Amino acid sequence: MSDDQRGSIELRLPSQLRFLGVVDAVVQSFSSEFGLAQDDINNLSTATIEAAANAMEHANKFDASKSVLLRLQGQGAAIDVTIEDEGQGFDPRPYERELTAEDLLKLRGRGIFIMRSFMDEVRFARTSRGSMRVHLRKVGRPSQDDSGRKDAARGN
Amino acid sequence: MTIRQREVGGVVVLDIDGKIVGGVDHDLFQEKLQSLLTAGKPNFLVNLENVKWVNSTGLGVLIAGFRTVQTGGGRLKLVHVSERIQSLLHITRLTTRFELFEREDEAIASFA
Repeated sequence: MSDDQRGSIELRLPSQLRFLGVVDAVVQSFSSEFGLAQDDINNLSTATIEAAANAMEHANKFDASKSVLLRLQGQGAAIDVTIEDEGQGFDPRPYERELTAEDLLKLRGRGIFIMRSFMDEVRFARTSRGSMRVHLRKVGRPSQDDSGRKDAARGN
Repeated sequence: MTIRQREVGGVVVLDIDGKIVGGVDHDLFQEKLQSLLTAGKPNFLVNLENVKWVNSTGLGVLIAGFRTVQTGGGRLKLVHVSERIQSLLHITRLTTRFELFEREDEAIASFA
């Protein structure tokens, strides 16, 4: 794999929800460099925003002295994202389930379901410091624009 | 998030601008709906044309608004919902609760 097919970026975010817009901007911009279709990019961004918001609120408790570390790594058509808090993490297990009819109009509790629905892979791991590292993976389908360019290159 | 309000055919149209991520957005949306319900205006069309994305907490803001209006005897519907937000509403099955419209005039007519 050539160097222009891989790359990574790291970001340290304050634990404030207003910076979720930065997460969206960075994921959108970074992922577009790897040829993902726009709906895959949107889904990856939505899942990353969920994980970052969890880290800010439930793990870091909006503590101004604690950050959320965001790392994006692209390799070919796959994007791997890790989101790590500097607090005590959180327990995802109560939310690892399908939504029921009773859940439909609840105000909270959909974040992990959304991550699992939109991603190819979601993993939660405790770090040695007791924080939580969330790993998201999205394997992109070729965008229609890309297919068109490849067809043109082949002379189709 | 900011909210501007206007009235079309007896329906209050709330033009939302920016991100809906919960916290103060919840309070702002609730206060707006409550004051209008108290003023005798029960029907709301929420225009999401200038909302790029919402997260799960933002969905909670919209759901809380839906429930408040329903409890107050009114209706709350959505218009100009981006594909990205529709995708979120679809996987969380909220499309079974919220009525979505592509055009404002059709949405307004649906309240008749």
